[in-house]
Amino acid sequence: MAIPLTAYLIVAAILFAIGVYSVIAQRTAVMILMGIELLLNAIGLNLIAFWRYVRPDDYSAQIFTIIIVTIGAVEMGVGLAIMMLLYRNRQTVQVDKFEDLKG
Amino acid sequence: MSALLLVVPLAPLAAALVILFLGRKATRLAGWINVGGVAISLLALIGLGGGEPRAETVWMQSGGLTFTAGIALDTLSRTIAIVVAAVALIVNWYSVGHMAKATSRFFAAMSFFVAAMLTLVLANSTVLLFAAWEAVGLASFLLIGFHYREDAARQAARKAFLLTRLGDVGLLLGWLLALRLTGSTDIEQFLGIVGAGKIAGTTLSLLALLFFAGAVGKSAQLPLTAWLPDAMAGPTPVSALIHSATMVAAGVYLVLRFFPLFAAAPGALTVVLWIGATTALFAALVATTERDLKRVLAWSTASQLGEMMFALGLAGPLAAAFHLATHATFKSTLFLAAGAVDHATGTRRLDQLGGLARRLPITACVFVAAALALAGVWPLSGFWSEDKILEAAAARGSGFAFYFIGLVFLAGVYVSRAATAVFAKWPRGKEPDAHEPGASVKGAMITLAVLAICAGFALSFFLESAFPFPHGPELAFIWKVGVLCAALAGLAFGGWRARAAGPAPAFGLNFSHLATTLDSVTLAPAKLGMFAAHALASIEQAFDQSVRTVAHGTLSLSRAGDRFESGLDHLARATADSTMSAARGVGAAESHGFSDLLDAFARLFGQAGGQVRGWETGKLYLYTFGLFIWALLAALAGFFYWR
Repeated sequence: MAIPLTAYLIVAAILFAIGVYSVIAQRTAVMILMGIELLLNAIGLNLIAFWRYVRPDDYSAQIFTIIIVTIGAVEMGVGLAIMMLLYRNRQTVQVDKFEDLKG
Repeated sequence: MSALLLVVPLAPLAAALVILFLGRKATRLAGWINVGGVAISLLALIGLGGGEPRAETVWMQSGGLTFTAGIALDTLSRTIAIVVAAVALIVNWYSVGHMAKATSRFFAAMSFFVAAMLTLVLANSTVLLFAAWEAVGLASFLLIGFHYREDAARQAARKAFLLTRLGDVGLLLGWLLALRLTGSTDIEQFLGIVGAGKIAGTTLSLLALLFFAGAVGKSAQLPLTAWLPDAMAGPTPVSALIHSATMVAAGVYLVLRFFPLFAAAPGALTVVLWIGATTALFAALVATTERDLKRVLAWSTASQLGEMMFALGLAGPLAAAFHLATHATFKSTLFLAAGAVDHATGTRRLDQLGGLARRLPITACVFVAAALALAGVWPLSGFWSEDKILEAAAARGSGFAFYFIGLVFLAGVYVSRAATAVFAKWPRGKEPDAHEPGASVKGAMITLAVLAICAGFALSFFLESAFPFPHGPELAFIWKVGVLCAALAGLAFGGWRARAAGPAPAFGLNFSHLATTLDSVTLAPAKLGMFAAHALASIEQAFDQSVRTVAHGTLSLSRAGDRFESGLDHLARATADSTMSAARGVGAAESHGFSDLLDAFARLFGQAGGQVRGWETGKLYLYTFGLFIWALLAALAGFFYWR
């Protein structure tokens, strides 16, 4: 039973779309960070699927994916730290409240 | 040395200025400053010792005439200056107590007087001598009129000033003539030229008479005597210092100073002799009639000055100078005692005084000692100097000697009469409640009385070193006895008259008319002077009018000039205004042009900013959405570009 490449690509595309939606539409900073995480993982899934089905002898895709995961972890830590500071200062994480730079 | 010499007249002058700056309330301090200034002068004179320093300078030169101004010390001027400074010191000491209630102006005037008098004595140029001569006259005027609210004092001051001024005209003409003849105001040079016989005899006589006119005014000789008794309206220290010892003796000093001139003009010397002789007799006779203690003393002063002139006229300058020195001591003492009596009783009238010897023993002793010295009782000072005058008279002729003995008799009469009337006891309604004066007054009186007792005897040993004049022949003993007898007889007669007839005139009332006659006689030239002054005034007015016309012309000229100038001014202002408005125009153009351009730019950027501002919504989702759109477009662009 072989799962075609297209199925992986569709799942990855759905994940990406969900990620884009949550980044754009969510009002809470935590949910936006989770959306970003979905985006990163969708890209990782694409890379792994293309390595397995197109060039299984080339490992650079695996290394690329591991870097993405690492960056995702770092991005999560920095992002959450920013959230914590924002919350301490403004007692809220609703991103619509942060509009000091509005023209 | 010459610096120390300058201190002599300048110290009292500085004292006068200091007193003026202290203000009128500081009377006691002013009194002591007054004493201090004179004390410095006296110390400087003593410190100069036997030296003959001089300090002189050329004041100005004009048309071959040299005006020098300088002071010099020689034998005569040293002795007289020491006498002046010593008497002034004691009288100033007396004033500290006596004038304790006066304003300090009195002490300033006294210091000024002493400075002027010392300058007069020391001056070796005629112009400085004349200036000092006028300055002592001014001081005398100020001090006689010190109680200027009293009518009598004002009148007396004016009378003294005008009558002495009549004589001063002579002195002025005299030294101007001397200046014309010699081309210099130096006294020594002038006397040298006189001594060399380079001036004609009549000119010499004229010069001597002109100088003597000044001496007559200052020394209250006939016919200008009348001011001296009236001058007694001044405070007593003024009478003691100025109108007995120093200023009135300045006339005698002037003749002494110019004695070589008088010696070269025998006619003038004869005039001196007779004016002195008549004044001495006249004043002594009036003194026997006066009822005011100080006026008795004033007439006595005039008489004694007449005796000095008499001695000068007999060519006995030594006797005159000696008598000047001794007279300064005993007459000042008499005045100081009279001032103490006045202070204690409030009156100087002989018919209201009496029996004061018990109340004022010290004053009485002082007065009697000085009175005996005046009368010429051996061995008091008057005896020694009157002896010298008699010597000069006897050398000239017995008639003069007898005349002088008569004068001594009269002096004894009037002074004894005054002393007896004031101090001896006789029946009187009530004895005035009198008391002795304060310490400084008493001390000064006693010191001066000691001088009055001793000065003649002491000076008689130093006559050669004190006065630069030759001795006459020694006097026969019989004359000495005669003059002493005359003095004692005069004293006895005066005392007896006063005891018998009270304060009535010693020789009846006839002689009292002498003074009033003199007054009317001397008033005539004064009235003539007034008339001349009025005539001069109208001439002056004419001058004044012409000067005023010139001044008006000048004024209108300057006004025209002023108008012309203001026209120029307007022109200049118009030019400046136009320049200014041009500059303003340029300034406005610049500022408007540039600022409008910049405003336009700013508005442009402002509007652009307003446009762009709308894009910055502050909504995070729009930013991320934009990001994704941008990424999508970039991907599409890349896809189509590389396809």
